[in-house]
Amino acid sequence: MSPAAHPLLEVEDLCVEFRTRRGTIRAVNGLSYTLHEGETLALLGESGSGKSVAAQAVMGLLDTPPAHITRGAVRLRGDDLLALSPERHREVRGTRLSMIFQDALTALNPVLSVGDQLAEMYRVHQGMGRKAALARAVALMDRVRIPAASRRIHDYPHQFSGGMRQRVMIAMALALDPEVVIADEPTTALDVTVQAQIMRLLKQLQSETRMGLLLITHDLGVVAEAADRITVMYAGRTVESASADDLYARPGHPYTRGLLDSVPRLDRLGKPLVPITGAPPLPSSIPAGCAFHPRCPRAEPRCGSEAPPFRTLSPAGHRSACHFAEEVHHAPVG
Amino acid sequence: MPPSAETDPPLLQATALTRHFPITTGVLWKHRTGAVRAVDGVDLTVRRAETLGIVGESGCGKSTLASLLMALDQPTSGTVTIDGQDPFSLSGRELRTLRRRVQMVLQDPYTSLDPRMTAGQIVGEPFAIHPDAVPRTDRGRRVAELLETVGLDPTHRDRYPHQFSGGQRQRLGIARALALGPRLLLCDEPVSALDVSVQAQVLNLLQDLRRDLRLACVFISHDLAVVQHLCDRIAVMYLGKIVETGTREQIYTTPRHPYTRALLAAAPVPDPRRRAPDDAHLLEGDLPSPASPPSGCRFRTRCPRAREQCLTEPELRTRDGADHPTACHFPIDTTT
Repeated sequence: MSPAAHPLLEVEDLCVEFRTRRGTIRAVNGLSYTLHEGETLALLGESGSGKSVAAQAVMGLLDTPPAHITRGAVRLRGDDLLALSPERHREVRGTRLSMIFQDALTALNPVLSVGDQLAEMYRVHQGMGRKAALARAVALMDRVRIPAASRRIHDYPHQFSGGMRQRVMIAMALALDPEVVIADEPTTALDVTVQAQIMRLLKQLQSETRMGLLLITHDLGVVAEAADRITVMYAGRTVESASADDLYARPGHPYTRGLLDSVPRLDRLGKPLVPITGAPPLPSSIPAGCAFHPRCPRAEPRCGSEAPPFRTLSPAGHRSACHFAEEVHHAPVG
Repeated sequence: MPPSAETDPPLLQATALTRHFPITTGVLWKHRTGAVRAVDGVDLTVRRAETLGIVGESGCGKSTLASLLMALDQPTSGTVTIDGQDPFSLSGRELRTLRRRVQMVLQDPYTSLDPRMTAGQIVGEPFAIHPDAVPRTDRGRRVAELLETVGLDPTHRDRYPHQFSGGQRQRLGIARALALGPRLLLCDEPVSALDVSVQAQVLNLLQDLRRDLRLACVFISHDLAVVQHLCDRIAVMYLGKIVETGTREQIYTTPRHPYTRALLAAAPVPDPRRRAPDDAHLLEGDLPSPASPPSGCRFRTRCPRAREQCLTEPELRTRDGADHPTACHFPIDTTT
């Protein structure tokens, strides 16, 4: 734990809604988490759970209108990011906070060489000359283990393979030594063998820089490999948060338990899957009470009316938003 | 386990199948400068009521192989036989009849359904193409049965695709594939576009259908964990070739090809207590281009066991009497 007075990144009760002509869509409804230095926190959720919107709100990438942050706070070492002007937010982005996107081919500029794009970071933020900036770009590409960096710096994004392109994205995110890196599904578009390389690279870079890594993903396998702590999201809300070991060994929310029972596993050949019934709700029609209750095997009438508060399940900070959290937590895992 | 006798003629067989896509240059006078060898000498057999999994990374040729097996694309060389018949020598009418026996489920439930057709029209469309399959008066009832078979509410038959969730749309695609009573279903990444919680529902549905209708399946996926769940036998593909085939237990517990082992090692297990060690050996680099595959063994450029002998191409062959063919000069010894 860092001795500093403020945690690295603190998100408290964040709410984001999109106001459109056809109605208001509440994408994030009260998300809270804390990320510490050198730590990997995974934000686990399915499509529509609001995990990417929450990340964009932290990055200051949402357009208003239609997006409105209606409540909550985002603090980076105690500095309130939501209170910043767009210009100040842009300065923070890149220098203290940066992001790795899923699809490097669309996130990189196709008509600029990779070297120019990396060098731009130093030229814009640090006012470096072209030559010096390019030299830094080569060093950066070496750091993310791109072979023959000094030659490849003149290549364009389409000339790189998927895995190498993702390394370029990572290089760009790390260029200015940010304190926090948000990786939004960084390996979803990659093959398993390349995914393993990228996840290892992120881990190595993190141990070098002590950056806080917020890993946004739907993949239970990737999370288990990489995360120290996990926050599970459902319908825009946090439903459970715990250390990785606790969450997988003794889940405290029926949704988390359902996810774990429904994923096919290599270490359990032929074991039957127990799916969660139904489908995740649309952000435009989130059920009242506990949003998970229509799909929940444990639901009782009160779940449809009373939103469950967080219950603490262990002194280590395992928390679950379920009326029956203790019972679920103590049930044996199959 | 395949319940049918091994002596039955195979339902689907491919022999020395290749598909090369020409690379051309020139604007007015195009000339051929090379070829992408998407499928390059594949042999496989699917027996009745058996599920064969085909796993491989993107670019290994698995989807090209799928369209060859379904006779949607002409092979460059080699043969496909479906139920003992060569689809490429048949007339249009004969081919249409054959197609009733092999149907396909596609990956993306968002683009593979016509947005202007109702659920009932989508599932009933095969009867319009094959009018003699089911009498006109029975079609409505049959569509309702099909919707029920895949777990959809038959009263929703007048809804449009956008009114269904992703998982429900994939069920519609499955119902359409079942309409003509096929004996073989080819599924190309059928659950890759679905959320984890919904994926399991569709996997269980496919498993039930396979058992209840005695369907044979070819299940194509990049996801090793999904494939193990559904398949009796598995073929691992790398750069247009099958490098290893075996039963589920053979492939997952005693893999013999270094590529299979690397794939298994790279797939993350959803349990933090079983994390791979930080220094575990990982495959380096990316898949080479199928337009210029390495000579000899195609995996040798990334293989930790590669030696000089790997410059010559290994045959897919069985050793030690086990029915577990592997295309490697130095397969991993599984007896120790």
